[in-house]
Amino acid sequence: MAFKIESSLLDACALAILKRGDTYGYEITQEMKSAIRISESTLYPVLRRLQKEGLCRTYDQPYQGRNRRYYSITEKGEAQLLEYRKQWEDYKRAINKLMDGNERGGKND
Amino acid sequence: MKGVARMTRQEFIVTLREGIRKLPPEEIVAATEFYEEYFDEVLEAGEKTEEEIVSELGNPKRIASQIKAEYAARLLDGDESLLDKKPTVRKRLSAAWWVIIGIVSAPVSIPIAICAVLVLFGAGCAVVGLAAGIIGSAVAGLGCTVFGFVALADAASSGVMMIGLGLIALAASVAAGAGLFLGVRAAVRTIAKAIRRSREKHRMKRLAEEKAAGEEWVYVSRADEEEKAFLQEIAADAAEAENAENAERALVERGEGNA
Repeated sequence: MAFKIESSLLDACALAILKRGDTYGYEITQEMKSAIRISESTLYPVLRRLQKEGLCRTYDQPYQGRNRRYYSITEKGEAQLLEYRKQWEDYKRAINKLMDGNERGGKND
Repeated sequence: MKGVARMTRQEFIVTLREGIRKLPPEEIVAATEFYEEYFDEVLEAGEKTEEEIVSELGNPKRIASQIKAEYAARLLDGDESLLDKKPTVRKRLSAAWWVIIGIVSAPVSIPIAICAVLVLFGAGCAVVGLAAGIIGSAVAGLGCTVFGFVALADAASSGVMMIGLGLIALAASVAAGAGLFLGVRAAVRTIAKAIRRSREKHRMKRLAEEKAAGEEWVYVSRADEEEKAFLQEIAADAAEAENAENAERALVERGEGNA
């Protein structure tokens, strides 16, 4: 991928994944990887940060003789995601405006 | 050198834990659990071997640096949850860091700084001394020449000799002065170049390290985060080396805080 992904964008993506429902680390990694090229080890610090900022919380559930740690978005996390979505729209619009291939109107004809 | 690709799961976890051993126990536990679970999940999916997972994850030392950098960023940004838990230890530690850094770096940096200042001072004295000598000989030469002209009327041959000697002294002084000027200028240029080169080298090294820290990992490679991590690293090292007892106490307190 030609563009680097900022940490806040990673946070936003992770929150968006959690918004769809509680899930565990490996699945989050897979979902992230299905959309963007990130390394396997990038996700842990992201989740840890979200957890420490109170944007998500974790709980363990037994699975095949071990624990699976589930991540769940908090209310604060949902509020943050809403804010991220709004900002993402603004950002997208701004960049699109610059990136679209239309030529400048004034100088033609 | 041992390739990451040939590392086992256990070696991976051990190296990771080793890398973050200075973080609070809960951070070490959380990271270990996450990666242990990750191994379990991928192995259960049955598509990859342990070694493949390890090589995909990459160097555990690098992962440890990411976790440390993330922790340091949180700590120094004044993460609320960290503050709630152990305000006194945290505050005391961060305040003590600067003091410890000062103490630890002092025995190394102060003598070096003193040496550098003394060497420069010595060189400066030498230059001033040489310049004084040259000016002195120039004045003497000039005096000699003038005296020669004055003496010309009374004793022609002595006068001519004096003029000749004086002019030789003047010429030698001018030549020496020019030499000194050129020498000093060359020395200053060399020193400036050496400083610039060493700075460049340092910068290149930093860039290389940054690159090695991961291409996709934008977050930790941002300069300020890296600096914070670096600070924390130094402070942790310093605390360990210089003040093992205090560090021990802090760790115990931290442990109690978590319990």
